Amino acid sequence: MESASNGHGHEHGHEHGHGGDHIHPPPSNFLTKYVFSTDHKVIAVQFFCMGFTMFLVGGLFALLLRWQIAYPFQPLPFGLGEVIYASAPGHTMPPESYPTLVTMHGTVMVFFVIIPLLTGAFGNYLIPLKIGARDMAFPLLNMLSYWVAVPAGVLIIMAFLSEAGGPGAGWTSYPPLSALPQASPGSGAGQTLWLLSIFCVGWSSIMGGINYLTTIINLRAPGMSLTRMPLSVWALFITSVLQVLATPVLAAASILLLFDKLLGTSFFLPAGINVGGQAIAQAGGGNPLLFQHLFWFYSHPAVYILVLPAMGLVSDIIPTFTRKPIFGYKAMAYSMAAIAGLGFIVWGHHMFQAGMNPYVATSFMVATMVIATPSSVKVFNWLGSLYGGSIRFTTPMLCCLAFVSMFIIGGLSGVFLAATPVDIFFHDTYYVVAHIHYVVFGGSVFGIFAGLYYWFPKVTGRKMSEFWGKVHFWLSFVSFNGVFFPMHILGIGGMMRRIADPTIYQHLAPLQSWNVYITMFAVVLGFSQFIVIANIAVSLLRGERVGENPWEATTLEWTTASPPPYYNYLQIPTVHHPPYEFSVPGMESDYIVQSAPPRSA
Amino acid sequence: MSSENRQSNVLAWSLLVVLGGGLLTVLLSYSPPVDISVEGHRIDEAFGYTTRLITIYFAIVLFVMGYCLVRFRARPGHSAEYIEGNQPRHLLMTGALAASVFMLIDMRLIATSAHDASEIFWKFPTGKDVVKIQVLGQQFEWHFRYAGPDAKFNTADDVETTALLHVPKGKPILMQLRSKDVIHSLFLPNVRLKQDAIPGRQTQLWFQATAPGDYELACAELCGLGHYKMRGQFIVDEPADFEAWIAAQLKDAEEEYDADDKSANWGWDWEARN
Repeated sequence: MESASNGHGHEHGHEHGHGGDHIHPPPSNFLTKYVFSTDHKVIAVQFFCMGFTMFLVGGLFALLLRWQIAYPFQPLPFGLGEVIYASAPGHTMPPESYPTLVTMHGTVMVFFVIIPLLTGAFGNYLIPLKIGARDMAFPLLNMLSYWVAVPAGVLIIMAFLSEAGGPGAGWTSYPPLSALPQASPGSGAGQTLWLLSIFCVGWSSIMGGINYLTTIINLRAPGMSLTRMPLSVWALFITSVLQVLATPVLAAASILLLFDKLLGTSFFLPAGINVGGQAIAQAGGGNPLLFQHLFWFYSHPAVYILVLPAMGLVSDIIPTFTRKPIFGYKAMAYSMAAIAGLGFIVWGHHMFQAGMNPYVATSFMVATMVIATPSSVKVFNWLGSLYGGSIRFTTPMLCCLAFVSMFIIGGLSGVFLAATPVDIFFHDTYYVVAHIHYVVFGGSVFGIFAGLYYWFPKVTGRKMSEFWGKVHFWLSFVSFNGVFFPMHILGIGGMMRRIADPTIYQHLAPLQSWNVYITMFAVVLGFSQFIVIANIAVSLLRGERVGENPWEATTLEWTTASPPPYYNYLQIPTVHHPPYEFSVPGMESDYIVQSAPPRSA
Repeated sequence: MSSENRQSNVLAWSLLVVLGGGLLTVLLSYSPPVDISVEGHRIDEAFGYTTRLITIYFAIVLFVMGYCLVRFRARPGHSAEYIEGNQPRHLLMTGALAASVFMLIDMRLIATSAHDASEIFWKFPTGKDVVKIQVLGQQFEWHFRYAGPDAKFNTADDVETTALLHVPKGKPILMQLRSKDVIHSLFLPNVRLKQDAIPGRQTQLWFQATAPGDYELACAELCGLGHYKMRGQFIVDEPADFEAWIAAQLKDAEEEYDADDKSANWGWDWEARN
C-alpha cells in the first residue's frame, strides 16, 4: 500500500504542485526512512516510543518509592529485592536510593514522558496534518530535536546509574545540595550528567517549539484561518510560545549550576558553607534563591507545557463523540492563552517559605488565583460541550471525561496552595504531591491516553480494541484515584514529601494505613499499563482495519488515508468550515469535514 | 440497543460514584494534626472555608456532568443539537461562572490570606516577653540556641540543644533561622508553620503555643540522604517548667563552654528585622 501511494505522489505531485505544494520523493533506505527521518509522522512515532518506554521506567521508580513508603526498609515481595537491590545488604532499599528514585521519577516523568509525548509525539503528528501541510516548516530541525532528545535520555539513564550515586536533589535540584558532592553522593557525576541531560532536553524542546510556531504561522492550508484551527493546534501553538520563551531560562540555570560544579564558580553558593565539618572554600557571593527563581521561571510555565496540549487534544476529541461543536471555541482559545500568560508571573508561589516579602508574596498569590478564572471557563465550556450532545461512550471519550473531572480536582486543590498562609502549612507536603498528580496524571496522562486511542487508527490504519481499552481505562481511572486522592488526606495530616520512612514520626502514625492503601492501588495502576501495551501490540497486528475517518470526525487529518502517505495530502486541501461542524441543522450527514465544499456554493 | 443504553448509564453513574465517594472520603477523613497555636486556626479556617466552597462547586460540576452523560447519551431517535456556545447568553453564562469562582473562592481567600500573611504570620513580634531562639539547620539535625540570662547570643550562658525544642506556653516565640550547609525547612505541624533555612540568608518564624505537651518537628525540604531522619522533639512547657528547664541546661552549658570552639559557638548577634 505504501509503495503504491509513494508512486502516486511521485507521479502526480509535480503536476499538481504549485508554490508550496511541491512533493518530495519519500526516502528509500531504512536509515533515512525510520531512523534519521525528517518525516514528522515518523518522528512523532519515535517520540511516542521513547516517551512510553520512559513512562514505564518512571512508573517502576514510583512503585519502588511506594513500596518503601508503605513498608520502609522491608524486602520487596516475591524476591524482587534480590533482583532490583542485588548488591544492597539484605536486598532492601539502600538509604541512598530513596532521594535518587524521587529525583529520577520526577525528572523522567516531566522531561521524558509528558513533554515528549504531548509536544514531541502528538504535536509532531498532528500539527502538519491538522493544518493541511505536507510536513513541518523545518523537517531537518525536527529530526534534530528528536536526536537531541535521545542523548538526553541516555544521559539521564547514565546519571541514574552513575557509580557514586544517582542525582538525589529532587527534580528541582536546588543548590547547594545539588552543587556539592560533599552534601550528597549523587551531587557528583550523577548530578552533572543530570544537568547535561536537562540541557539537551531543553534544547530539543526549544527546537521543537520554534518549528511548531513557524509551521502553524506559515504552512496553514488555504482557508485555515486562525479561528478555524482545531483547538489542539491552538493549544500546541500556545505551548510552543511557552517552550521558546521559558526553556532558555532553564538552560541558563543548568549552565550556571554546571559552572558551579565544574569550574569552581559560585553563582548559587554563599560564603560560609560548611558541609559535615568541611568548609567549602569555593563558596562565596552566590545566592541559592537565584536558582529557585530561574528554575521556577521555567518550571511553572512548564506545568502548563505539560497540560495545555492535553487540553487541546481533549477539546478536539469531545466534539467528535458528542456530535456537536465545542462549546465556546473562542473562549477556549483565549482562556488557554490567558493561562499561559499568567503562567509567567506566578513562579514565586513555589517559594513562599523562602523568606519572601509578604507584599511580593501577595502579588504572586493574586496572580495565581486569577488562573482559576480561565480554568473555570474551560471547565464550563467542556460541560457545555456535553450538553445537548449525542454522547458516544468510546474509550477516547471516557479518557476525555476523566481528563475533565480530574483536571477540576487538580485545579481546585491548587487554589489552597496559592493562598500564602495556607501554603505555609501545605508546602512540601503530600497535598502538593496530590495536586501535581491530579493535574499531570489525571489531566495530562489521561489526555495522552485519549489521544492514543483516538489517533491510533490514523497512525496505523487499525483500531485498538475497545474492550481492552475500557478495561485499561477503568482500572487506571479507579486505581489512579485510589492512589492520589488519599494523598490529600496525608497532606492535611502533615506528611512531608520525599521522606523515606514516615513511620518514625508520631504525627504520621495514624496515616500509615493510608500509605499501605495507596501502595496497593499503585501496584494496580502500574500493572494496568501493561494492558495498554498489549492492546497496542495486538492491535498493530490484528486490529480492525479502518478507512480514512473511522470516528466520523471533521478535522483535516481524517480526510487523508490511514496511515497518511509520506506527503500527507496529494493536493493541499482548501478549508471551508470551522473545525467542529457536527449536527449542523438541515444537513443530511451529521458532520462536515473542514475541507468539504462550502454549503452555499 | 437497550444494552447500550444501560451500558452508558452504568458508565456515567460509576464515574459519579467513584468521584463522589473519593470526595466524601476526604471530607470524612479530614484530620490535621492538633493545632496548639494562637494563630494556626486562621490557616485551618481558610482551608475549611475553601474546602466547603470547592466541594459545592465540584458537586455541582459532577451533577451536571452526570446529568449530561445520561440525558444526552447516544441512542436511537436522539440527535445532538447544534450549539456553538458563542451566543451572548452563552458568553454571559461562562462569564458569570468564572466571576462567581473568582469572587466567592478567590477574593475571599485573597482577602484573608493577604491580611494573615502580612499582618500575622510574617509580622514578627517585638517586645520584652518575646522568647528569642536561634535555629541552625545542618545535615541532618536541627540545632536550637537560647540566649540565657544575659539575653545575648553566642556567649557562655547560651543554652544549646539538638533535635529538641522547648518553648514556654503563652509567650510569643521568635526564631531566626540559618543553615550551615544546604537548604532545610523547619516544619512544626502543630503550629501550622514551616520556614526554609537557607545558607547565606536569615529567615524568621514566630508563633505562640497554647497547650503544653510533647510534639514533633521535622525538615520539609529534601536535604540529602538523611532528610527523613531530621526530626526533633517539640516540647511546649508551662512557663515555670520552661524556666526550670533553662536553668538546668545552663549548668551544663557553662561547664561545656569553650570560647575557642568556633563550630560550637554557631550563634550570631540578634538583629531585629521585620
